[in-house]
Amino acid sequence: MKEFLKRNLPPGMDPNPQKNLFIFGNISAFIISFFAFIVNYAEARQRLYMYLGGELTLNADATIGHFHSMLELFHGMYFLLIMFILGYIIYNYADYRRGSKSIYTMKRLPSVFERHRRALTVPLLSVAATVALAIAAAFLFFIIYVLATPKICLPHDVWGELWRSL
Amino acid sequence: MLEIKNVTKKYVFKKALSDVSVSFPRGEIVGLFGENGAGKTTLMKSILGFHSFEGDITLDGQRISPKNIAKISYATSEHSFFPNLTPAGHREFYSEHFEGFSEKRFKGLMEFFELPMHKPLRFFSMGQKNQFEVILALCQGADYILMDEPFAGNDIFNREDFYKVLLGILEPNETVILSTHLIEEVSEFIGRAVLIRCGRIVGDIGVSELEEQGKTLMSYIKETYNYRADRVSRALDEISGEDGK
Repeated sequence: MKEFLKRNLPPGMDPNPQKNLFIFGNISAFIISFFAFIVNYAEARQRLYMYLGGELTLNADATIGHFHSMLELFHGMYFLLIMFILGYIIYNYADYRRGSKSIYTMKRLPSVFERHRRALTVPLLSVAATVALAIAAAFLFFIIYVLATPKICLPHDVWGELWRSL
Repeated sequence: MLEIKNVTKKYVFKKALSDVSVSFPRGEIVGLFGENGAGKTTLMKSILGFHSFEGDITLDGQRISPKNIAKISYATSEHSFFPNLTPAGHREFYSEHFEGFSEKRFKGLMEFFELPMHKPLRFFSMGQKNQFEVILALCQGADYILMDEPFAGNDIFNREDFYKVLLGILEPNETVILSTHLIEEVSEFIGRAVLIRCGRIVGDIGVSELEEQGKTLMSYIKETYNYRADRVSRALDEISGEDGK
C-alpha cells in the first residue's frame, strides 16, 4: 500500500492525510449513517404497532415507511466525504507549485500523463472505493430493514425500495 | 542543433519575444544575457514548451514533443525539484523517467558538493538547493542543458567551484545555455554570448571573435546596450542640484 501510494501521488507527498481521510471518513460516514438509520427505522417500526386493550399489537394493515426515507444522513454523509476526497485532486495538482515549481519537471517528462496520473489516481480510486462501501452499507441497512420488519408489513416491491434508495 | 525561428510570444499587454531567430549547435557553452524582463526566461520556457508561441522551435530537425523532450534539461532559480523528496528519491524518479540519467555523474556531483542524500530538499539551504537543481539538470542525460540564473544565492567560492566542475564534466556533444547576470564570472568559460533586449536578439558573438577585436564581454555588452557611463553622475548632479536650491 505504501509503495502504491508513493507511485501514485505527486513525488514526495505524504500519503497519510489522504489515507486517513479515506479510512476515518468512511468509518465516520458509516457510523453516523448507521445510527441515523437505526433511529429512523426504530421510529418507523414502532408506528406498525398500536395499543389494543392495553397490549401492544401489530397493525396487520400497516406498511413500514419507505427504505429511502430512513437514509437521510446516509446520502449526505457519503456525498460530503466524496467531495472532500475530490478536493484532494486540486490539492495534488497544487503540489506541483508548492515549495518549488516541480510542475516544470512534470511537464518535461516523456510520459505526458504522469503528472495527471499522480494527481488523479488516489482521489478517484478513493471515490470508487467509497461508493462501493456506501453501496455495501446501504445493502446492510436494507438487510436489517427486511429482516427486522414483520413480513406482512413490508412494501410490495421490497427490492425496488433498495434500488430507489441508491 | 536547437533552432529557434521567428519566435514571437505575446502576453496580453506585452510582447515578450519579438521575431527571435537563433540556433545552438551541439557542444557549445552559450551565455544568454539581458536586463531583467528582456525575455531570457520566456525564451527558455518557449523552448521547453511551457507556453504557446508563434514561430518554430526544433531540436535536431524535429518539433519538441514528449518523444524528444528528454534531450533538454532545465535548471531554474525557481527550482523544479520536488521539495519533499530526498536526493535519493530524485535519483530514483529521474532514473525511471529519463533513460539517459547518469547515476555516476549524480553520485560524483553529490559527493563533490557534499550534499546529504537522505534529507528532503525543503530542509536544504538556498545555496544547496541551487546546487542540487543544477546537478539534476546535468545528470538527466540531456543534450541541451538550459540554466536560468541558477546561481542566485550562491557564494563566490561555490560558483567558482561549480564553473570548474562544469567545464570538467561536460561531454563534447553537450550544449549549455546559461542565463545569468554574472557576466564577468562566466566570460571565462563560455564560448559564445547571445544578447537579448526587449524581446529581440541584439547581439550574438563568439568569445574568440571578441578577443580578436580586443574587447571584453562586458565592453561588448555595454556597447551593444548603448550604455552611458556618465548616466549615474548626471543623475546625481541633477538630484544634488535640486537639493541645493
